[in-house]
Amino acid sequence: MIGERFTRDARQAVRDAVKEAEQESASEVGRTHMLLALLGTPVLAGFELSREEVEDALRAARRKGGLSEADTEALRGLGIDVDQIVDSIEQSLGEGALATMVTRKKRWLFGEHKPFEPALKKTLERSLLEARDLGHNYLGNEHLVLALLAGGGLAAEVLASKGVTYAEVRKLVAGQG
Amino acid sequence: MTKATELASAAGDQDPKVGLRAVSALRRLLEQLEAVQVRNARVRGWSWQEIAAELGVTRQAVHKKHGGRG
Repeated sequence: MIGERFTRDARQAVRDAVKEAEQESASEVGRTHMLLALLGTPVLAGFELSREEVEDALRAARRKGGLSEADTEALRGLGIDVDQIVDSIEQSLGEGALATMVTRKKRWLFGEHKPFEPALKKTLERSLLEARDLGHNYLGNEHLVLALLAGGGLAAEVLASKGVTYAEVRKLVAGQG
Repeated sequence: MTKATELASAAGDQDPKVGLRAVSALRRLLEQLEAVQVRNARVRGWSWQEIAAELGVTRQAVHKKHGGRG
């Protein structure tokens, strides 16, 4: 059972992600919460990531219904101005109208604590592969970071916009071993 | 990021990656817009039947997707 091989830091990161989701009153624990939980991890120390900047980027995306900067650009290419749509929705329905996440039917598998978004479960699975690929017999924060970067989505894009890419982090992690 | 815009306008829908990305973003935007508008209609006292009629789907479909939140 791989659960036993999670490092103490990795367990803490998962708990912190739950805490981030609670603070945000999110209905599920998602990859963006994991991202916030992992910001202080050593493998990211060289990238000058400020929590404030990351939070700003996430907030901006949330206001646009979870669309990232890259999504916005892609839609602009189609002639769709997301900012204008957000402005018009907010004018009629109030500020932050699009920010409320679409909630799926919830299944509370773990009793009292918040459910994990399917994409986050995939990320956790992926982190096992990352550890295995590197020949590591434990699962640490560095593997969680790699899995986040590999999975795409908003968390990976926010990291990429700050110059944190899968290739860069993989190099760092492999160098350690 | 401006690079993506250039790519999009230069390649138009020739680059599948850019085109697919836009479709995916549009779908997520649509889901959010639908959720927001349905919620607003419910707050204003619209019935599921009325909402379904406007969306062009069945009452069951709209209730299944957006029900549970009142």
